[in-house]
Amino acid sequence: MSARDSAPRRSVLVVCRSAPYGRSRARDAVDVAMAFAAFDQPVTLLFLGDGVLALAAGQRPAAEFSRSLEKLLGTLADYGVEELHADAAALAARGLDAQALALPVRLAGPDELRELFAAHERVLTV
Amino acid sequence: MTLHILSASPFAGSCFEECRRVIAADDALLLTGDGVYAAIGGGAAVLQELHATGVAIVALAEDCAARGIDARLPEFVATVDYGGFVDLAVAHPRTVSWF
Repeated sequence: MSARDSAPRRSVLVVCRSAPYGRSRARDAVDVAMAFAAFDQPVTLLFLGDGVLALAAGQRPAAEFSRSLEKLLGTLADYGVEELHADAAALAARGLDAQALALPVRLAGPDELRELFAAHERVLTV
Repeated sequence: MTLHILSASPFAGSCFEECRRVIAADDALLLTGDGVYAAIGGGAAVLQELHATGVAIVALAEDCAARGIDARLPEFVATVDYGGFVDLAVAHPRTVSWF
């Protein structure tokens, strides 16, 4: 039996709180969510506050500076990260709606946000 | 039943605001480091509202004393030492760090 088979499965909520290119935190949040999924841990990814900016469609970073986070988001489903939620109020405050996003996510209002935190055994804010 | 640990100043970024929006009535909020500044000035009114909904508001005594604000804490803010910090972590099934 490998360590992977014997690892206990604990649900984890990964909270992305940072905009995508100023710092590495948003990419780190997506990377860590993929890592949890690769080890068969049930993972949900929540984009909260400035984190919703990572979801904007049309990201074109200059190649020499950064890889596209939008492209990475497109591979989440391949890694088994399918539970994606976004802070509805934060999107509205930043002039974004569902049509402006790179991929489909569930929009979470105040009650849904609280339920997401309560519904997971572990919460990791990045 | 979540323990939220706020360790950033409410004036330095969005930690306090985002924590406030997701915290639930049966949760606890522990202020540590620069997070203790949430207990004075404009933050105190926000904390009082949370406290009124049932959220336990606690501050790490050592960090309040270090910053000279221990005598100015509102009465609804309880203080703990590091042992109390551990007790809070044990008493809650999950913790969320805001930093």
